[in-house]
Amino acid sequence: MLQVEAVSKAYRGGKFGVRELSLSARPGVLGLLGPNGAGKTTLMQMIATVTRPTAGRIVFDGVDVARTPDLVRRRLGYLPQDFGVYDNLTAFEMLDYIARLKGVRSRARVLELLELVNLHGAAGRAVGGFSGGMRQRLGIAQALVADPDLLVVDEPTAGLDPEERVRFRNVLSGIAGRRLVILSTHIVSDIESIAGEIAVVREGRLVGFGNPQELLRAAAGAAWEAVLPSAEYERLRAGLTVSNVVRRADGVHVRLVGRERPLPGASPVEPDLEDAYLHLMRSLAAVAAA
Amino acid sequence: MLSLPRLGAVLQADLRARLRRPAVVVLLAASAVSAVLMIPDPKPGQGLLQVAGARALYSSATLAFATAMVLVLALSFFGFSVAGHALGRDLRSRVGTIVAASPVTDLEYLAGKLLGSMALLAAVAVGFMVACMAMQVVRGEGPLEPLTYLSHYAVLSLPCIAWVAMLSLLFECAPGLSGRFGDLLYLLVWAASIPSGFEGWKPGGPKLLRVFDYMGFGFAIRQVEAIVGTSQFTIGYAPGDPTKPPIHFPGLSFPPDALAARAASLVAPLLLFPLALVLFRRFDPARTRAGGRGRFALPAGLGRLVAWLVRPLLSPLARVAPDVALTFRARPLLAVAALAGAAVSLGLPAADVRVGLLPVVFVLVSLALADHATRERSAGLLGVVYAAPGRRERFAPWKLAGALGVALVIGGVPAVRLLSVEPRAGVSALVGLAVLAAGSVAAGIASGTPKTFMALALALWYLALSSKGQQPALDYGGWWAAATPAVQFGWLAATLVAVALAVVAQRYRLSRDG
Repeated sequence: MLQVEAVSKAYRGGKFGVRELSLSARPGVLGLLGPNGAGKTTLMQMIATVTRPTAGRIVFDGVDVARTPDLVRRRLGYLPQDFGVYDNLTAFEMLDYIARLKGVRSRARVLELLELVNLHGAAGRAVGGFSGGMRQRLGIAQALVADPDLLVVDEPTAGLDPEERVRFRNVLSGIAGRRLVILSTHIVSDIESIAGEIAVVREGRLVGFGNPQELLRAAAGAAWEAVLPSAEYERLRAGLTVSNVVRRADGVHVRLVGRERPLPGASPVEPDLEDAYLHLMRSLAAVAAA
Repeated sequence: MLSLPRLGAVLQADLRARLRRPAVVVLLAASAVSAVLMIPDPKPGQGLLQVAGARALYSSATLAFATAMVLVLALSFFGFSVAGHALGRDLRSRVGTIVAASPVTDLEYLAGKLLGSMALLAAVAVGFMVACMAMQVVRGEGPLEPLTYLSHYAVLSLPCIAWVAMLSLLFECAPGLSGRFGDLLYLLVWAASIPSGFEGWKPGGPKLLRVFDYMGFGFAIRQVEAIVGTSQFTIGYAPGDPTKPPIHFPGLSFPPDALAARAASLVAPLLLFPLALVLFRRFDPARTRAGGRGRFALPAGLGRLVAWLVRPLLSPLARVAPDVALTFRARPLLAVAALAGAAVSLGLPAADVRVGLLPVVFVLVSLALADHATRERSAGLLGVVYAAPGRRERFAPWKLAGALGVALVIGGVPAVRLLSVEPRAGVSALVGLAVLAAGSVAAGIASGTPKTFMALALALWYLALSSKGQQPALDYGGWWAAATPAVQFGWLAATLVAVALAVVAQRYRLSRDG
């Protein structure tokens, strides 16, 4: 459905946003993971036809995205990282505007989407007065309004409260099927339950690709748990790769990542996706340092 | 293929978003109020159109012609600012990214934006015309003839609206022209169009130039000269000879060749549309930067150099210096212009500094200060700035000091040079810089947009320059050495009023925003 073939995005001064990145994706949810500045947004902007690759090509259902962007745009829903609005338009007017740009002229569809994202009660309110979460929900609605075959959502859960995040994950999970949903985030839990495949990006390159089980298998034996006195944890933590910390009455319950046992008292546990991601990043950093 | 529904969606959203902005509502109201103020009671020796000292009766033809001429002057001058920043707004609000990923074509989007700008300017024109027609009912000396109004307004203002909207769109698409330097370039285009229009309508003049007479001044003035048989006439409220009986002005006539020329002037700007299409970068983040710094921007090092030079000068005002430096870091060309202005002022005779250099310096100061009090708000940094100790409560004084600093960095050397040779003019120049500094902060805080200050500053600049010192009260910058001490005190008082307004407006904003 989507092929990214040796795509690069170079900027003036020789800097690269994305470097010779290749991947292919089938219908379903593709999670794009990576630290801030890894090139996720640039890759998504290229897929969403907002910017063009400087090398390589992106093909969606046989259509070259850079050569014939309009063909892709008709089937595309895009939620950028910083979703912007006209502050003095109402939520209905704003969504109706974007719907009409995408060829949707049904008032009922606009209202349906506002209901889907729980904004029907605020349809007549100026968007300028919306909270960050409400704006983000409006952004999600506009991405879905034309019933796209390709949905590109960049950090969609930023600004959402926990309930809204779950709601949004369910929406994405529900619409993915025959469609391709590309979801970029640095919050692993956002994609853990819904992504069929995960691409890990670092410094503009693809450093990991597979389904969650494959990533988990690669991290087998690399997750540990230990309970430490608070003072000892503070002393040791600089030398540890910590994926989770919980302070309890009996001490600091710390979840650690490492191929070797990181602390004498640490016991091995089943890795989760967060551990797998951290393990991958740690391994790459070690290789780069070497 | 062109999709009219998509084009219509862009047009409608653009117009909605703009018409709901408080500044546009104020503009529409101001245009109606100005019609009331512009048409005073007819009295012997006073009127809107005077021919060799005799006033023209307030017929529909007189009022339609005179008010349409004033309208095109205002539209051509301020319209660029009113219509402008349509793309910049989408860039800054980040709606542009959504547009870029939608099926709307560049042609549909830009055409929608162009029509939106034209519709906005047309709304201002219609509002003004209706207000003028209402004033004729109240103060007119003849029957109201709506068709006379319509024909005069259409023939005179439509080409103006088309040119202003097209140029603002083109400048926004062109790298380097989407910011203040585009505003400055437009001012030059505006100034050049007036003589070229007159030249084109001169008997035997090159007819091609009629196309560039977008304000219709050449067309209208030549016609009036032919109708009244003299070039001694005044448009706009002016004193005349009360002993002369009023005359009847029949209005402009529209022969086919004149209409064809006006139609050509209406259509001609559309020839620039393909250029805008080519230059439009469709909000590609790799080729577009919010803030409009284009490829003509100079290295930031120059800005840093000036910041380095400025900082020790303002060491007692350490809190203000970064704000001053930021202006030059953001626009390094201003720094170069300030250095060049200072160097030139030291080498030129004082009279040349006063008449030749100071008006240019005042334009630069106006450009530099336009967004001085609004940039934090538009960048979403107001909260960060307010978080600094005392900055929230003293935002207005901080901005006033910064604005004065910027004005002095650009205009201080020429003003001091003048002070040493022509003290009275030098004092006026310093007072003028203070007027701009205080005005920029007051207008910026009160309206929340840089446009208000730009419009006011450029209008004052134009009035001062065109008065050539005959109206000492307008010589706020000392360019004509005409300002008396009373005038200087008057402008100083205006500065203090602006300072007070800035403080009050800031307090109001703080109390409103909580």
